[in-house]
Amino acid sequence: MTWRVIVGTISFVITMIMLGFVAVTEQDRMANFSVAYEARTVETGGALFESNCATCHGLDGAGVPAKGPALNTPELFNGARLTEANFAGTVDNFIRLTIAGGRPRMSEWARAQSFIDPMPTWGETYGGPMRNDQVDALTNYIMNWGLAYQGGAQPTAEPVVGVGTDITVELPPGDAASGEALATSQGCTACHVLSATGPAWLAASDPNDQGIGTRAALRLEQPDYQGAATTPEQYLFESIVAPNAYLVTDNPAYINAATGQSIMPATYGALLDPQMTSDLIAYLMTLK
Amino acid sequence: MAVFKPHLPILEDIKTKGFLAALLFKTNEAVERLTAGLDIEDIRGVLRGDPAPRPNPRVKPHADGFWFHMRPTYYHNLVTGLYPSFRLGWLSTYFFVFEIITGLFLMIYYTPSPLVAYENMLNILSNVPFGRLMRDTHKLGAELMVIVVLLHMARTFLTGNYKKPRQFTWATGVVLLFVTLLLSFSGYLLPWDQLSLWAVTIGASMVEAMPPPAVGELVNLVVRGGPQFNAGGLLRWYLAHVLLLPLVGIVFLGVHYYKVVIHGHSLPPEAEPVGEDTAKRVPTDQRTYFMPDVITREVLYVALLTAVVVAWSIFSFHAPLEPHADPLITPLHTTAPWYFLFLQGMLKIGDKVVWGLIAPGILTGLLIALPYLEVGPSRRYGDRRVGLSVGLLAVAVMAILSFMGTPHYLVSSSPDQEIVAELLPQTQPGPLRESDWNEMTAGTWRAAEWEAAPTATLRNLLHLYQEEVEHAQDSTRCRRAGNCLTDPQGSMLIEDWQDDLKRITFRVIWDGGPDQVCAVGSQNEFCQVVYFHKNANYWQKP
Repeated sequence: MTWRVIVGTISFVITMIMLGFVAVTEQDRMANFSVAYEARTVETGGALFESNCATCHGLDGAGVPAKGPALNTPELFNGARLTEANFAGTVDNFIRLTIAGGRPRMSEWARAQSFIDPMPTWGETYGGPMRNDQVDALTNYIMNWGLAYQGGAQPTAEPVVGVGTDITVELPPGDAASGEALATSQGCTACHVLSATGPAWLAASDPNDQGIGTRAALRLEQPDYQGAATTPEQYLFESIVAPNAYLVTDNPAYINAATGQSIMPATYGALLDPQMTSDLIAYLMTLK
Repeated sequence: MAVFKPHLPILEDIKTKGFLAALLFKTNEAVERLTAGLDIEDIRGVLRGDPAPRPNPRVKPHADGFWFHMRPTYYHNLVTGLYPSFRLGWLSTYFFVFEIITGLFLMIYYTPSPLVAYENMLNILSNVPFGRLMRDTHKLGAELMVIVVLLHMARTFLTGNYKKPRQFTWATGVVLLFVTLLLSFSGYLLPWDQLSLWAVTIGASMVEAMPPPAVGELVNLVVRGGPQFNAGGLLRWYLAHVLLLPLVGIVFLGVHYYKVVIHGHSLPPEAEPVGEDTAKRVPTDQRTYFMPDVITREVLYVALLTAVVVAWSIFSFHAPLEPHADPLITPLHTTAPWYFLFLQGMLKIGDKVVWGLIAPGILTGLLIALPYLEVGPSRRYGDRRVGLSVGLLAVAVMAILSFMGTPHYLVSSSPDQEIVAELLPQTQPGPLRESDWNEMTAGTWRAAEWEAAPTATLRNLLHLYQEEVEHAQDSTRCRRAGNCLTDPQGSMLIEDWQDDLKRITFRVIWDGGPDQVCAVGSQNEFCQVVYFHKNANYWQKP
């Protein structure tokens, strides 16, 4: 009898102590679970990406030409894509909305990449096949690529030895295909698609139906041309590395009113090595 | 003359006795009303184990109080110990109440909709203080309740207590057994994870077999709330779980308890003459009063068991939470809950109608009719050789059927998938996910060369991998299924995929395998990819 009361009381006290232990450790446990769950959604997202997205965006997120843009790229995370899409929200939201709603109307930019099909709608909210938690998991997985680009880190492993601004140097032979990829990865296409923000390269977006390759040759012959180029290739070289050598005045929007300089960054001489420059020029020359 | 004169007797008391004495007197009176007859001094006497004063105030609650009138005033000395009842009936009641309390807590944070049910689980785990403990104890309590109720039934059978005049008590007990099983089972669906969906899908597919087809289809629609389990089905099972089944349980619990008191707690079989029921005629010198002896035992059991359940839930038992329910993905090795494994085993024997419906129906009928089948007057073990043998045989058959219900029996999945499923199960974290992320060195690792791996974690994993590969080459299991692999080889490719994320590809080849690695539609090769995040923390469990 007495021992029953004692053992029962001790059990009750032990239960209370254990509940106290839970109360004290609960905040940490809940926080840990949130972190762990977030990490598990990245895993789920990886599997979903592999089975649903990799065909067009590449398994490693590098993009597939004519199918889908790269996602494992600083432009997605540094705001360049957002600017191009005129999106005022966060990168996270941009990705989530793009997955959930798709891009039924292909943007000018996507057209310029000559993607064959628009981004399909995935979220069930908008009539797609994926639940919201799956869209969230995919978003987390894609956002996880962004960690590598935090703090302004660039994807290139080795530092680039710039080509400089002297357009008379001899360039190695260029490869138009890799130039096309560079046009995307170096951010050229962010501006040179819509003529409102920068001269469009493609013949289709020029009023006179002339691509940048044709125009480069014509510019040289213009009486007001002040640059040093003697060939169309050199003209393009000059436009890339020394954009202020000769200002095209077709559109006042191309010139920064405050400084009187071109809105084209004058830094590409340092960002592109000779091979990259040559590739880009080779690509541009194909756009007749 | 005052129009309104307040009448406060306590003021008179305070005037005559003084404040403290009046307060004590009133408190004592309140306690006496709450306990329906015991004042503070009486309760202290009970707890101290004093001999009962005369007249005995401890019998008054049994006559005047609601809760105590359901309990006998005194027991026979022979039934108050562990044997013969093991207090399993009391413990069943305890778990019923325990589940109601923890269940009410969980109900606050739960919405029965497929859109948010799983998110609710995550919220309970990540944002509700004591949320995980409540979920774990609710789940653990449910499992223990099934065990305790089954043991209670087995004990009643073994000591022959269900015989005349207690047939009706037995029948209500069978109803309570089914209520318990259905309560536990219906709770499976509510978290809306893969485990929920598929365990319940298996269960519901049995009722679909009900003949004729028109009826089966209708019952299936009613049970699933549509052709597929979804919002409708979840709501139905939720309402059954929190409303219908508890109500039925409470009603039958009341009847069951009442019948137990009416007939008295029967003595151990050997303690009374054959054919006689002396439970209600307890000689005065053989009485153990409910207060203080029985009640302290019962409270002791409850206190001990609560401590055990809470400790178990905090330190080791965690209710599983699998990935979100997905009707398109059937996990490998889906099983019914353990207490329905025998049904799954019977379904493997043959026809769905015969083994999934008619046989369980007959079993249920036999169970209820048991008191009318074993009609011998004696409850003594020696006189019930046939009955007890049949009972033990039934237990053995149930055990065998339950084993047949597990994936170990007659499930012909490909051995190559089994190898990977052993390291990377689809229904639980498993060895790979519980490994140390930092020790998963990038590279291609061959299972056969596990000893050469650079880290202990990899060596363990690859060793396990190699063992499974060898099983797929030659084991009783694959020999029986006739699908042993010729010269199987396992390898594992670990890539540093993103920051804090590794991509791991399992590749099993046999018969030389294809030239290309993990190409779509290749022969003699099985590839499975898993992503593994540094912070996924699977060993901490949900």
